[in-house]
Amino acid sequence: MFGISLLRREVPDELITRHQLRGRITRRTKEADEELLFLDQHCVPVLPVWKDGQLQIFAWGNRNPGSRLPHTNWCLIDSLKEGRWEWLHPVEVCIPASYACDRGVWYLVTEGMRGIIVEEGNRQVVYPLSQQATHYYEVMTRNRRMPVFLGETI
Amino acid sequence: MSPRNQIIGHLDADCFYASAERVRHTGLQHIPLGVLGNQGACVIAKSYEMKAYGVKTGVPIWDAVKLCPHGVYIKRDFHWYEVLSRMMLDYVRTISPKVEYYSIDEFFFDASYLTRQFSGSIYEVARIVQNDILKKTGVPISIGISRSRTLAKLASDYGKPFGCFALLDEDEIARFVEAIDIQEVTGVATRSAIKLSEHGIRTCGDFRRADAKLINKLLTKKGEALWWELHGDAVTPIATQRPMHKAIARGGSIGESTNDPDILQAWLVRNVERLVEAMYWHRYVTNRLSVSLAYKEGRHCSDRCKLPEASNASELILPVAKHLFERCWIRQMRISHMHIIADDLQYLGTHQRSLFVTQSPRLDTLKRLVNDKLGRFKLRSGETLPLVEIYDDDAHQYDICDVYGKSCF
Repeated sequence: MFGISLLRREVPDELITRHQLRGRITRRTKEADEELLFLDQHCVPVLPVWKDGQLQIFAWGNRNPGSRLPHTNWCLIDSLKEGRWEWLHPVEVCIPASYACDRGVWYLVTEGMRGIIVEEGNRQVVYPLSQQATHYYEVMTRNRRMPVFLGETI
Repeated sequence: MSPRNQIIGHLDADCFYASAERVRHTGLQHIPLGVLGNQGACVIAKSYEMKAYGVKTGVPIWDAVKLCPHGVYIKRDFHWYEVLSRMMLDYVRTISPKVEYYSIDEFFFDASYLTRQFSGSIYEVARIVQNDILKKTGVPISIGISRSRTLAKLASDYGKPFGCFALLDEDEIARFVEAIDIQEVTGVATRSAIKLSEHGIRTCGDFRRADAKLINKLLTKKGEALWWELHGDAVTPIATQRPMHKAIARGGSIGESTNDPDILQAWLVRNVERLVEAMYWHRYVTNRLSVSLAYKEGRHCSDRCKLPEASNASELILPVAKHLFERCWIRQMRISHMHIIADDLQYLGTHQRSLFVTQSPRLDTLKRLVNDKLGRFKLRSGETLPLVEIYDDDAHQYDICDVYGKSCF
């Protein structure tokens, strides 16, 4: 299981209403700030993305069997560098996050993660970039892969 | 001022690493927070919210997550913690002429001057100090004030979190310490506690009532000093300067255990470079070097030798370290921890120079010149190149032992 959360106060109300995200608002403790959850286990997995100067919500990966887009939640950074996504004309984007959760371990994210947006017709899909995990990350989460973070090494 | 009349303050930051993270990441307020060690495996500090779930310091992350699944974990950053620690130290130095930088989050200070600088009772003044530090640094602290450092530390522990406790009256001191477990006193570890319990001494009250000569016999003069301290006699002075080290060591876990010779060589060189750096900062030269290795499979091996001359130059220390490493390295086994230890230290300039061996530390001078300008480890040995991940990660640039000037570790 992987997921991120974003502080509720960083997400405009209009976006929450439009994408019916109210049910994803949670708090870790009674006094803590509210957070908005984006988990890959949600029925409709979505991710927040900074695109064209504003925060938007996009489908996370492709689960549609009829779609030509890669059937995955992640884009391996090596495959992107090798040009295997070029036919989709990917646009690199920033996925903001306050915290991320990998295999049950929540950790602080200072800015966010890198990702790509690809289009199929009118549909836009975001794929976060993944890379080989650092030793630290692998010990912490027991995952051999990790997101590509913005401005930090975990 | 005689020790009898002295008032000593102990200032202790509340869950310092977690509080320091909250200063720069305000969203972490009220969240159960665990700070992880440099390998990501263990919780080295936690917030009170996480402690409430039973997570203890030293617990592996996988156990901590079971106890507190909604807690947030963060990588330690000693560079940041030192910034806040020095801010607190600077403030304490403005309120007292005698301050001991005991550890990154603890200070002892002569509190006799407090009531002269501020108006109010000693308790009220301590509250002012506490609030000033919170305002200036964002870090909550607890303060204990008493007749000796041992009592002041017990008092600050008692008040936590964000506590303030003054313990000056003799009867009050006697009542306060009476039931405290003797192992709560810094300097009384398990082995000492066993010796004491054989004589029926289990609490600070028992300890105070015991004969000082018996305590000296059981715990040497250090134990006797604690006896006087618990009676309110400040026999252990506030050390405004760090006393000379008995030894300096650099090393620790090497991350993923390995028997890859290139990686091990890289760690050896990295540890030597850090050791040389520390010795230069403290103006030490060493006469003796040790290498200690721990294996994943459970064995330990160490070796040491005398240097041809007292030195702090990597040109001399590195070949000796390599030689010692070769002597204690069991090639089939994976190394998990490595330490390079310099002891038999002397201050540079006061040591006996050899007539036959001279080492000109040109390489170290060059490294310092470059790194002072461009940043730590910017110029380093090519032998450290296999440690790509370590040098790419800012968190590995700085460790707790790189915070200099503390009188404790």
